[in-house]
Parts: sequence; structure tokens; C-alpha cells
Amino acid sequence: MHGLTTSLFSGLTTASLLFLVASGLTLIFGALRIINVAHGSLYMYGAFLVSSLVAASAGINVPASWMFWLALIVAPLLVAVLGGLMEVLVLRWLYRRNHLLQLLATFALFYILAGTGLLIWGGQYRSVPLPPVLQGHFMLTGGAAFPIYDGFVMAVALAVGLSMWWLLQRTQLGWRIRAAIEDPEMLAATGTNVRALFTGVFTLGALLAGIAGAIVGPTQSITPGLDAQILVSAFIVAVIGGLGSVAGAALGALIIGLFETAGVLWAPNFESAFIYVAMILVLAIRPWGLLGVAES
Amino acid sequence: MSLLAIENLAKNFGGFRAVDGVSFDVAAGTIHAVIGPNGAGKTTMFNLMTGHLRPSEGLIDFDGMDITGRRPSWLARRGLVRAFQITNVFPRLSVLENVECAVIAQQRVSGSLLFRHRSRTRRAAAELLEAVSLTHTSGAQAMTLSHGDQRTLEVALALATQPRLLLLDEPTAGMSPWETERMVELVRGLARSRGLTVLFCEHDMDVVFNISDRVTVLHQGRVIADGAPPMVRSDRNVISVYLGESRA
Amino acid sequence: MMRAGDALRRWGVPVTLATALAVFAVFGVYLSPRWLFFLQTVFVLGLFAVATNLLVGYGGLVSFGQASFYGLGAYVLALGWLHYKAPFVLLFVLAPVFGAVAALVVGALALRARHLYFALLTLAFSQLFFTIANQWYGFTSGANGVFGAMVPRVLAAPRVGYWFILAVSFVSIFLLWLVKISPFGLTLQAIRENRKRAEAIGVDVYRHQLYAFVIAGAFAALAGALFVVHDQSAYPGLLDWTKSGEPILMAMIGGLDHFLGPLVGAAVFQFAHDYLLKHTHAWELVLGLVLLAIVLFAPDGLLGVLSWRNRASSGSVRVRLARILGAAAEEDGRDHK
Repeated sequence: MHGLTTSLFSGLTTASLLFLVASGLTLIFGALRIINVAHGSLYMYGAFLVSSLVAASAGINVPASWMFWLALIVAPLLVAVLGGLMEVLVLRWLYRRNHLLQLLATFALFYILAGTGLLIWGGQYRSVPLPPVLQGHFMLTGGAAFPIYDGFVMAVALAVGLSMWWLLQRTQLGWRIRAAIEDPEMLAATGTNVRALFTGVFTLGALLAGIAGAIVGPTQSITPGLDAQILVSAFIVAVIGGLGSVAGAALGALIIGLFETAGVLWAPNFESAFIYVAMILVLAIRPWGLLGVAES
Repeated sequence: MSLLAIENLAKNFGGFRAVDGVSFDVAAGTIHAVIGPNGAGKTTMFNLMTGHLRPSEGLIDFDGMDITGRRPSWLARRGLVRAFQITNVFPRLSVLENVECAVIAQQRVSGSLLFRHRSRTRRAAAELLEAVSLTHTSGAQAMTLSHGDQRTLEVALALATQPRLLLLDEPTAGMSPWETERMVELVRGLARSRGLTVLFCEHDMDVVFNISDRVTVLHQGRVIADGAPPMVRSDRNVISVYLGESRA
Repeated sequence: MMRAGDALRRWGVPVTLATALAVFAVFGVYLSPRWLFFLQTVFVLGLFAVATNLLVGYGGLVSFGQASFYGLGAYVLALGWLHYKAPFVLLFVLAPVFGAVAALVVGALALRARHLYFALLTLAFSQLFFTIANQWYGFTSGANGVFGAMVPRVLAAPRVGYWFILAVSFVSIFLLWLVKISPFGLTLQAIRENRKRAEAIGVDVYRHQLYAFVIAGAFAALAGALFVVHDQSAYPGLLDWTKSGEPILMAMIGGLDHFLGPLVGAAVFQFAHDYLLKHTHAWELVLGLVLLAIVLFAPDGLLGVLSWRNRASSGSVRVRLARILGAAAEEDGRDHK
């Protein structure tokens, strides 16, 4: 029972991170119809930036834990700016081109960011120390221990999820984004500045990836290769949930998080295979994802 | 001797009945026109006949066979072929290659990995291009052709499948008077020389009454007249429906 | 009457291949082991890329799973030697067979989806194979990969190995060319240009694409087997999705529309890789920049820029390009909505 509860919470933590990354990916695809292969790179930069900022705090006499909180805000913002630049400088020129070219452009950006990351941060493993307030465990009934930081991750994901819901459902901007996803022709007819909207959506997506990267630091070692690693999982989550649907990304993340947990329990070593099987199954039965809209 | 017989064909889109109990026959070896104002249901009917849409009700009989609901590729293999309204060719392939693809499919060698089959198919394609007077464009990419030439290529593609019944969806749409005349001559010539049955829908009344052996008029999804051109032309219902719709 | 342009188009590829084969064969006598090694890699990747381009460039099917079959071919040789001590010749012949069967299974499932979902399914399979190879320590030796004398000593020698790889890859590329010019190949291109129209003229699109997928998979596996001849190893990295992306990159560099483009692209890619790796860690940065430059300014690839065809047609290259891409985008757009 112990093991089950801990595993369950661990699965939820994974789901939280996946949701954050996948939601950005799914928004970008939904509104811009671009497969952002560089999305994982943005996530990785979030993590690296936090680790650098925290490491730098020693040099400027600021307590590492303070810097951690500051970094959690600064890093995602920097990543968002990076995303915005990517859109304005590169992707904007390719909207009229065919999808293969757009994909190759983001693939090129993936390589560029990977290479640049290597130059800036080198190849060694980095880590981010936990601030004291987030260290330790919650003790649950039955004696199961559950890391406080995992709770923090879930809280962030929940907060972001609710903010996204509010943004998409209750604001003008959100309405426009949804229109871009569901009914692009109507959007054009309303005289919206589509270019600005696209830049905005891409920046938002990058911000989400940056937040995920920023909070993942303390949970695992940060290395180059994080970009490719998270990308596939994020894609699977986004696709299962239905591309363009943030709620779908949440649902997909839960499913994948749980699948992975099940995998760890039943077939440790092969748990990652489970998520690929999950995606293949979902796509075979319902190609447009669980909450996606069927394409004619 | 009717090649195509349509009985009580109907199609509902949600609450809207685009085609509402249409029946008529197309006799073999004739040129048969389907006309009607915009929204009369002509394109929907074409889509039903060519397998792009499933009928909600009714029957389509082709040469004694029930073809209701059959898919386009199945129909094409049995001689019921459509040339598209929106130019629907293979854009980056050459004009010759375009036609050759259709010949390859028709000769059932699309699965062949042997190059030598292509000399045969290439020759057949060249002949077809000759028949529609497009030989001078053989090497050009299909998408670089003028509108009229692309529509002609469409016809060549349809011909390559050796149809018994050829459906033309607004063959002269968007054409200059000169191009229109060429298309008319082409269709008339082909029908005669190959014993082809042609069913087409059109807006251009001059074309319709010029070459058709028989005309069916649709209005709001129903047949309001069906017969030889002179009869249809002077039919009171037809005239009233077209009042104000005369060719610009 | 065949004009110069037509003759070039018809016989350009086999003539170039035959000439290059002869030239490289002779070079084999004089080149240093370092160059032999480099060229071996180019030929292996070139075959992999040409086979992939049959699918991507000519078939219009962007698959991110070709590495599944490439790696599978390599592992057939490696594991056949490791566990069963099977004879090299048998394993070498079996590699493409396994590739074809795997491609049949993957393709049958993946091709039921279109465009993006097809790409993602192939990517999922690629990662699935990777995970199995990486985690099934008992059978595949996991992340360490398989090393050893899996190739007969005669072939492991750089010069003989070079000639062997040269011969097999060039003959295979020639066979792939035969596929491309066959009625099957033309029909495949027609499907890429206009799927609905191909259906309307009576083509069974799904089956056709499946066969193309199988052919590409079989030759990718053969390339994987050649890799083992070159490197005497097999490891999980051969199966991963970024490996699947490499042949697409190479095809892009050389020109998707040109049959030998991927071979040229493989040479450029490998050269850049080796050269840059010596001078900087961040060779990926350069690769990314080059790829981006090509996407933005020369989407027809190197051979496209030099192409006879482009110059001969109406209008400037730029205008033609815009029309091609616009037409493709429109076609795609129509399909998506």
C-alpha cells in the first residue's frame, strides 16, 4: 500500500511536469499549426538558467534559497523572450511554406539551441539545491512519505492550469487564441492582428516550457539531452489529449503519468515503453486525440 | 438503352435536403446536360453519382449494376469517371506524367516495379495528349498551364481511364470564349469518335443547348424538366426559374 | 526525338552512379584509412538517406521512424553473431528481410493516420525500439551496445570493407532508382501530389504507400547492416528519433527533389560533422544554422540550386519556388481543414 501511494504521487508529479511542457506545445500547434521540435530545448534552457542563477548567487552574496525563488520568476521570462525571438526572426517567414519546411526549421532551431547550450553551459551535470522550506517530506497516514517539493511541483502545475483555463475561457485574448485553433477563417475575419497573436501564442508556449524547466531543477540532474528526452513524452501527451486542447494536455499528462507509474511497478526498466504503446493505442482508435476535434 | 439510371436519389445534410428525390436516365452514347440555378443541387448530385458522397436515399444504376455508395476508385475502374471542377491535377508532375499516371492506373500496372512497362504507358499517354491537342505542353509542369489547358488536361486524365460514362463538372467555368469553344469541340469530337457518354453540369446556356442531346433541369434539389433541348428551352417552369438568371 | 534535357533526366542518375562507382573504386587503392573510413560512413548514410527520401521526397510521407529499421538491420547482424554465432552472409541477407517485415507491421498501423499523426506514430515506434534495445540488457547488452568480431576479418579490413560497402550501397541505390522510375514510383509521386485524385483514378493509396514504406524499411535495414561492416558494433543510439531525422536532413541539404540529393547531403553532413567535431563541441550549432539557412533561402537543396530543370523552366527560380511551396501549402491547408 505504501509503495502504491508513493508511486501514485510520483506519477502525479511526472504528470504535472508533462502537462506544463505539453500545454505549450499543444497551444503552439493548435494556433500556429507548427510542430515545435525546439520546445524541449526551451524547457532545458529554463532548467539551465535556474541552475546558473543559483550557482551565481554565491558570487554576489545572496543566499541560494532567495536566488532560487528569484530564478523561478526570471528564468521562465527569459525563456519566453527567447521563444518570442524565435518566432519573430525565423518562424514568421515560414507560415506560407509547406509543413515539412516549418518542421525542419524548428528542427534546425533544436540543433542550434542544443549547440549553443553546450557552448554556454558545457556538458557536465548540474544540480539545483532545494531551498530549505521545500525540503523534507509530508507524512501521510499509513506512513508513506511524500516529498514536499513534489507537492510544490503539483501546486505550480495546478496554478498554471487554472490560469490557462481562466485565460482561454474568460479573456478576449483567450477567445482569439481559441479561434485561431478552432476556426482560423473566422479569426481572420474579425480583423485581429494575427501576426501579433501568433508571436504572443508562441511566447506563451515558451513561457510554459520555461516554467516547467525552472521547477524541474531540484528533482533531477540537469544535462544536455534533456531537450530530446522531454520532447517525445510531451508530444505523446499533447497528441493523446488532442492537439490544440490544453484540457487535453492535462488529461493526457495524467494518463501518461499513471501509465509510467504502472510501468515502473509492473515492468521496471521498460516503463518508458509503456507510453509509446499508449500513444500507438490512442492514435489507432482515436487519431485526433481524446479531446481533439476530428479533422474532416 | 440507358447507361445510367437514377431513382429517387436524395441527400440530407442535417436538416437541409440538398437533393430531394431526383430521378432521370442517361442514354448510352448521348451528351446529357444537368442545369439549374446556383444551389439547385447539381454539384451534390455529381458527388453522389461519383461516390464522393453517400446518398441518404435512392438508387444509382450503372449499366445494370447497382453502384449506390461505391467509392470513386471502384467506379473509375468500371468506367464511370469524373473530371473535376476545381482543377485537381498532379501539380508538379509534367503534363505527360499526369496522363501517364492515369494510364498506369487504368492498365493496372501501378504496382509494377519494371521500367519497361512505362514505354507502353508513355506512348498511350502521348496519344491521349494528341487527342486533346495538348502535345505542345507535354514537358511542362502541370501547374504552369493556363486555366483552359489545365481543364483540358483534366479531361485527358479522365479519358485515360477509358470511361464509358464521363462526368464533367462545369467544364467551361472560368474560360474565355475561345477556350470555351475549344472545349465544346473537344467534348463533341470525343463523344463521337469514342462513343463516349457524357454527363455534364453547366452554367453556360449556349454551351448546353449547343451540344446536348438531352437536358435535365434541377431546382432546389428536384427535377423540374427533363427532355430534348428545344422542349426544355421553352418549358414554362424552366423559364420562370431562370428569370433574372440569364447568362451575363 | 530526345533533347539534351530529357536525356539528362532519363539517364543522369545511372550514369553518375556508374561513373562515381568506378572513380571511388579506383580511389580505394590509394586512399588513406582515414579517408576510407570517412567514405564508408558517407556511403552507408547515403544509402539510408536515399531510401528514406523515396518515402519523404518522392512519397511525401514524412517518417520519423526510419532509424527503427536502420538500427534493426544493425542489431540483426550484431545479435545474430552474439547469441547464435550465425554465419555473416546469412545475417547480412536476413537484415533487409527483418527490416521489410518490421516496416510492414509499423507501416500497416502508421499509414492509417495522415500527415502529422503518421509522423508521430513512426516516431513512437522509433522510440519504442530504442527503449527495448536500451533496456533489454539480457538480450541486447543495453546501453553498452554490442561489440566484437561480428564481421569476417576480411571485411573488417578498411580497404576491402570500403569496396564491399561501396559496391553494395551503390547497387542498392541503383535498385532504388529503378523503383523510382517504375510505374510504381510514378504512382507514388502522384499520390504525394494529389492523394484524392490518385484515388479517383483507381489507385489503392494505402496499399501503395505501405509497399513504399516496406521498400524504404528494407533498404534502411540493409544500410544498418552495412554500418556494422563499417563499425563492427550496434548500439541503441542507432534507433533513436534524432537518428531518424538525420537522413531527412541529408535529403534536405542535397535536395528532396533530386534522386541523388541525399547522397550529396550525406557527404556534406558527414564532412561537416567530422571537421567541426575536431574544432568545437558545438557542431550541432553549425548544423542547425546551415539547415536553417537552407530552409529559409534554398529549400530546394544544393542540387536544386544547381539544377538544370530550374533554369530551363518559365520564370525565375524564386517565382517558381514560391509557386511550388504555395501550391503545396494550399494543398496541405485544404487537407487539414
